[in-house]
Amino acid sequence: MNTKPTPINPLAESQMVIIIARFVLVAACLLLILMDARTAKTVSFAVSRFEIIVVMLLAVSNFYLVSQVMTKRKTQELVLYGMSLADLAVISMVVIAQGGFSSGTYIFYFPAMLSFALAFPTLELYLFLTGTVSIYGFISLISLGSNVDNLEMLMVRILMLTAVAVCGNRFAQIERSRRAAILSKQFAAQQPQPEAAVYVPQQHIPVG
Amino acid sequence: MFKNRIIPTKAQEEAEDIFFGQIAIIWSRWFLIAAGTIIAMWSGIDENQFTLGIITLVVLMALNFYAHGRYLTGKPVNKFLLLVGNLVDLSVITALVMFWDKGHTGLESEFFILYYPMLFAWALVFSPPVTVLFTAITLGVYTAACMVSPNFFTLLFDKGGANPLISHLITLGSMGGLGTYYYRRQRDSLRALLATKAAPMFK
Repeated sequence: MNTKPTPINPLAESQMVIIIARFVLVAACLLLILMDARTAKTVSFAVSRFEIIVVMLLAVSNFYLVSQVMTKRKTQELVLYGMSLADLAVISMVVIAQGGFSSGTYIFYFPAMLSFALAFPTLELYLFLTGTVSIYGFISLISLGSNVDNLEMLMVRILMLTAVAVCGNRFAQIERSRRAAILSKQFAAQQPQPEAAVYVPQQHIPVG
Repeated sequence: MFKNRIIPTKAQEEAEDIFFGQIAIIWSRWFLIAAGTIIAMWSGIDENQFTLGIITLVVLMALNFYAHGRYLTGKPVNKFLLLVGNLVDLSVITALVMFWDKGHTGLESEFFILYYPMLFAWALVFSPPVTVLFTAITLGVYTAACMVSPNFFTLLFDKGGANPLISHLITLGSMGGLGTYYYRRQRDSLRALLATKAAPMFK
């Protein structure tokens, strides 16, 4: 008996993109924190220690996800969403620790948003995007200072973050529909063909 | 397109990817145009700079209207035009990084963030070798744009400028890398789907 094709689960198939994006975040953050700590020019030592602990926690949580993929176990969707929220929270905390708008760490939102755009269904993605933009916008606005020109850069940053989400989501939607079309064609091909209808000429149908 | 379940050749696959995926590039350019409008309206310091900004935006809009219009009518533009369009985007962003804000050029310019959606959209549409090449060119062009700015070496050695440069390059590279990784996975699963006559693969 053929089974009807189940809808493609974007979260399950794109989990590796989230994992790699998080490793990029961890590796880059570690490198930068260590370089910063060595030169001690932009942040204090206490801030560096706080950042190192947070990044290490991220790395450990990522190993859990990797082990799930390697052992071919399905990760709970809630766990994935929770970890993604943790990513955004970590980036936001580092941004706050480094002075809000003036911090350059906001660029790590980009790979994170890329992975969400490819992995999350549309509604969840836009919820994450709205949350990120609102939180980052709020952090930046309260640390913006009196220079109105900074507002321009804040708008451009938010616009680019949105661009990454929209482009990724549009592309992922197209890919899913391409594969869904193939799956339904394959399913249709597996179904037993209906018997050919027998043509009965009009004059042979008994009347009355 | 998939009427008979024959596995497409690599060239056919690439053509289909460009056919279906170019909407990502089109949308990324619309966002670039929106950002460009904000920048031109807000921070154009004199009439000349403002006029130059608007003319550039008009060129980008014309290019994108053409590409989007053709996409909507089911006749998307070819690979060559997409390549030219992306090189135009790259040039415009690099010019912004190098010249727009006189006090903050090169490494101090914030306009490098306009590269992110461009690199990402490119990685989704083109094959991995082309993406790797284009990402490397973009990173090289950005680094060169930083290096020719007047105070690059002072920033780099005396003011801790290596950190921002490294973080920019890592995150920009990751946009191309992650995009092309996703592209490869999609191609592999699509190929597997086309090759099989059995039950669905994705649960």
